[in-house]
Amino acid sequence: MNELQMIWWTSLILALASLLVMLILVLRRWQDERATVREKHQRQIIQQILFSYMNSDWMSGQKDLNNLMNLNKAGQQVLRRLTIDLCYLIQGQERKQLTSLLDRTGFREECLRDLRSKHHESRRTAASALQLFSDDASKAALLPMLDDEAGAVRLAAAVSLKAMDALPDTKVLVQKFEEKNLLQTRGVRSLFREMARRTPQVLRKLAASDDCSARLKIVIADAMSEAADFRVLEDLYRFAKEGNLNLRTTALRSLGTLQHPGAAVVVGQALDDPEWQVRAIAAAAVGQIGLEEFVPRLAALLDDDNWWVRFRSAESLTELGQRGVRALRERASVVSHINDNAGGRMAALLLDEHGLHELQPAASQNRTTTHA
Amino acid sequence: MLEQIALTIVNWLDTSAEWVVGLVIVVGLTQNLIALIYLVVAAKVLRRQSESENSETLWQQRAPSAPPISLIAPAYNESASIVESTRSMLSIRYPHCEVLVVNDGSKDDTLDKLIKNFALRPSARDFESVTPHKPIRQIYQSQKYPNLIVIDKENGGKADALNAGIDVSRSPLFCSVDADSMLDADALLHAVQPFLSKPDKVIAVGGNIRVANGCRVRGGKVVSVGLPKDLLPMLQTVEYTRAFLIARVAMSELNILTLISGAFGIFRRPAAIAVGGYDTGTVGEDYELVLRMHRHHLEKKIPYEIVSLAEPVCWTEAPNNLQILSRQRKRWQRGSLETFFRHIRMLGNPRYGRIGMIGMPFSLLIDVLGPLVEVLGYLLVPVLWLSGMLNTDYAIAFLALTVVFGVFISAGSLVLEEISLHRIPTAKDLLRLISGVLIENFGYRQLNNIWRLQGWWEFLRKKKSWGEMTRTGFQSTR
Repeated sequence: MNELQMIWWTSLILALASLLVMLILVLRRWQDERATVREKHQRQIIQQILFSYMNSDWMSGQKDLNNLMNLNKAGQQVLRRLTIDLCYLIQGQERKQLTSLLDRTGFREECLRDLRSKHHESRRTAASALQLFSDDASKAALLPMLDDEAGAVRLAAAVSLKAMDALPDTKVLVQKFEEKNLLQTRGVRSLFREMARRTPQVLRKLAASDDCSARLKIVIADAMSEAADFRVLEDLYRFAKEGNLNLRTTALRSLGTLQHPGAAVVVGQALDDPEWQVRAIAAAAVGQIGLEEFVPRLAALLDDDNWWVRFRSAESLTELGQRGVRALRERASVVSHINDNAGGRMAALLLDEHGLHELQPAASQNRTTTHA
Repeated sequence: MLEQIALTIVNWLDTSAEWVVGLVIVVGLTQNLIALIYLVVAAKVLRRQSESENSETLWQQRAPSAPPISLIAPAYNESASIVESTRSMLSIRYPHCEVLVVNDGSKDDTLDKLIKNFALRPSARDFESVTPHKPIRQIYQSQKYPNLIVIDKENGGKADALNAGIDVSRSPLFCSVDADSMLDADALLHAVQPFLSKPDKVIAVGGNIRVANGCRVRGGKVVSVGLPKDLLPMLQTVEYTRAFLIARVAMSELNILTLISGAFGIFRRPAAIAVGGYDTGTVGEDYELVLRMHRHHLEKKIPYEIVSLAEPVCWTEAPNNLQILSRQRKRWQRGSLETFFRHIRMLGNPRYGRIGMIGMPFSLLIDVLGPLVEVLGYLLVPVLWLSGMLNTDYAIAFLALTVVFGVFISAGSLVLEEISLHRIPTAKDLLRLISGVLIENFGYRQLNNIWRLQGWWEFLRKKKSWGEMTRTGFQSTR
């Protein structure tokens, strides 16, 4: 075959391949369209039976159940999708009824099988879906998934195990996450927050261990903002004084969220932090906690070099009642030479933004300060 | 003597013609090879991606930890579509989202329409001045929607308006959207995923832009997907499918993504500020920003990722007449060239990793040399054929191969569309799109290259303006 023939043959093969692919696409789509219409109709019928099953007494419930169990293969798939959708929407006894139904359709078995799939996405989906069941077999199957080669699968397994109250020792869990560099992910953060809500003592113990890294402390500090147990404050106070900038800001943010007045000393110290990020978050925390005694210090921070510190201080002053608003109004009415009167402008703008100008008349106009 | 000179000239012409034809073929084949690589990589990526989550699942999984996002939509003379697209942005399902519409000194009644329809009142909202832009005249806050802010500023162009939006926004992420575009309700929940899974690394995420002509729009939302009835937007649908489902996804996977479309891109605000925001001196501000972010992070050795996803979808109105389309294509070409030559020192420079060694050379072949070589081919082939210097058999064979290869890649993009997004409404629409795949090679492709060549000319003349983009507004059904 010469060069010319080779070019023509290549063109011909590509053209045939393209035509074939496009033909298959169209035929498949026609088939899908017909299947969709069928499924829509089937879904309506199954939905009716499902709702009837959930709302009926034992006798008629058995009849509905038999109808559902006798569905053909396609019907079983529709039933499964419908039930999963509903499971995420409801709680309590009805959910248990649905998960038991799902189990009967073979969904749990299929998930357990999919945990061994070579596609990590299938394993992740299966690990995530198993949280709908709380049986021992599912728990036992999920535990080894914490060693999965894919980080997303490990995380999905951990979330499901948490939902089943079957998480292993937290140190072991952290090690599994660290191996895949998952600690900073939002998924792990959500999991830790859930732990902080339900078992804050576990996180406290973890925070107190000698080998707790700064990265882990940041995740713990973030999660502690959700804790209902105020003993976590001790840990947050400690974190807020550590050398790591991210840890200090995270701890202060959590202290602001927890709104415990006991944080006053730590927050007050953070207002003088050399890093602007820490000063800005501490200023925000003052407003969140409602530490009125810090009004003069926030007023002073209105002249900070950093825009965010000035903004957060002014914002906090608007949250500190009349004292805070008065301080803002006074600062807005004073023309200062510091930072080109940035503090005065910030105070005036925040008053405008919150519609606070009308509350009180201006205390003084056109006064000039000389402090440096 | 004269005969000898004539012979030398003929020989020289013959040799030159061979070289030029050789160059055209080599560049064409390399482009095809790149397209094939992209197709294979994109197929691999989309195959391993999970099925689309439904809205409820997405909300349950991502809403609790979703970081706040500011949607920034620059608007210049967008009177026809501004109300519809603002409604679209307000209807997005996302837990913490503020919408910042930046009226870039419009000459029409864009601002009046916004004030009237959204009950805007002047606000004294303060902001951090961190990027360069023309003065802001007034910031407005909606009385109806607390999360809607309208910034009225002096005209300075799209990049300038985006910078104003970055300044006024107070969220860790911002999303640039065109004011004539509409985001899918779950677009942000989809797009935020890379920021959630790699919060320390991902600095920008791009979405999938699709043509809205032919879709049914109600209350600023696409309620029913349809294909454009007119030929020009239909051919653009083929182009967009190819670009966003193959090229961008593959480039993202290969870590050589150099462009996140200005119509829909999410950026980490501090990362954009670190490079000084958008460059107001170019019309390719989206390409320029992404390339500058690459450069900054690579020079400072900061780990980062820039990602493009197939799933978050943004709908845009495609030009429906040749004049407007030609302006758009010339502007795109000009923007590409401005950015490419501004960062040319990255080309082939190992210091810039894959971007310097693969991304920039690919850009050189496709964006810079592509239109020049192809138009050169259009001009030379008939001339050489008439002068008898061209082997007609080979010329026709190569032409057929080029056309067939283009069809093959487009067919591949349709396959990817069907297995990943499944957004083509019916089998009939699929057939129409297939006809578009075949038709685009005869006239549309050539026209496109001529516009791109004109873009080259405008670049050489250092033209700076954007040109008018007349909007008809979405066909809303209430």
